[in-house]
Amino acid sequence: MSCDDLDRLRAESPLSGSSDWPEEARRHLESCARCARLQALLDGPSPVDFPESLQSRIEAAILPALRPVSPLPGVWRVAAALLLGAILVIAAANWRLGVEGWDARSGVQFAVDFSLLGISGVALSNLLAQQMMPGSRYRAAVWVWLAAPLVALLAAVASLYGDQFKPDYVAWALNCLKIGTACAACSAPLFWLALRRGFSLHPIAQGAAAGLLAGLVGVTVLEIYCPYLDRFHIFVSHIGAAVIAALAGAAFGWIKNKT
Amino acid sequence: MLGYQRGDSAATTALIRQVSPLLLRFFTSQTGSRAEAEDLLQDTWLQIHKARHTHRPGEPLLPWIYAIARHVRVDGYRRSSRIRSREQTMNPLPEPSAGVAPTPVLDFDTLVAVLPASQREVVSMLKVSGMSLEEVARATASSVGSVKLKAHRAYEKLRSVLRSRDDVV
Repeated sequence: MSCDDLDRLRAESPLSGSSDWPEEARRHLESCARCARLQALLDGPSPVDFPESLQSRIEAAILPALRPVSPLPGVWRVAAALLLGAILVIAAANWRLGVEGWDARSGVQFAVDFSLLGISGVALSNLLAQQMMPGSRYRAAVWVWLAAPLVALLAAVASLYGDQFKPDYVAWALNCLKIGTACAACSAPLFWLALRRGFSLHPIAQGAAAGLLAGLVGVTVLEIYCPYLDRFHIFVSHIGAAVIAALAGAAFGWIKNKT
Repeated sequence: MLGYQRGDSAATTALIRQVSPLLLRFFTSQTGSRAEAEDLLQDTWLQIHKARHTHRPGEPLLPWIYAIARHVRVDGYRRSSRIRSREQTMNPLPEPSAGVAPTPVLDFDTLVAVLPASQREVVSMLKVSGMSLEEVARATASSVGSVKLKAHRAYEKLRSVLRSRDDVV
């Protein structure tokens, strides 16, 4: 066994002391003075003395303001609240706007679009609910969570939809963008209500994730409402609304972080 | 922790007494300054107190505490960097003495001081606080693989530090 192998063993099993190591690792420690010295330093960090005055100062700062608090609800309860808020906004918006887009889509377009939106919504809700607690389980970097739904939607739209030019393209684009961002803005306060008790360690990333979830609400409303099935229109005006909402969420998180 | 959330002062005192020495040890190895570590410890408890409702029952406690501690340390570092950038040195620094400076006694803190901050915090959490790889991954918002990699690189670096010290001696 080499010194490097021993480093790997230390990294793989940090809790086991050198006495629990395999025979060849212990033999290496006996023969290599440097590794033995490093192990001795790592095994025995000297305990720090903790003065009673410091304990008293901390207690004096905390105990007078001690009140019972109710812990955060479970991850799935928060995620369900977020999804309920999203469904409420989608239902209300499409009740008002209509469902022409739903009727205009083929079975495959319908199945792929709404499956992707559903999966992304559930995954983002779950991520946001988990991240309310510091030190929650790590799944993947936040940028992966942010990019994955957008990339999947872009790929699905690029492969499932064709080009349908309309002379009033810009008017359609602006109208859909307006509706998408308005729906995102309507769902944002509901999401804030569900997430407000969390402790945000990464407010910009979490703001962007909440913004993206609100943006996906806008995309879903547009997918149900808008019968214009041109791929560039969907890129710019439907998915664009989700991007704008995510950026707005990130900006909100940045401001919160600064203040 | 449940007692702390219920407002039980005896449970809170016990929790402070149990966790504070670990946090103070962690901050001392991170900052190299006892006074700064004590300030960070007090700030951390204020943040923990504000966020005590965010610990979900049944979830591990140490990653939650260390995630907040890490947040406080980063904030403190940013604050002190801002202050340092505005400070002006009024007197010239004294000339270094001509003699060879004695090599400091090697202990855990002087050893890990040479590591980059991200590796130092991983080694401190593993070795000082006795946390598992999974707990360190949760506290540092990274994957278990990334924690292992940082720990491995840290041990390699520490070995090379020991080698160079041996060469000097």
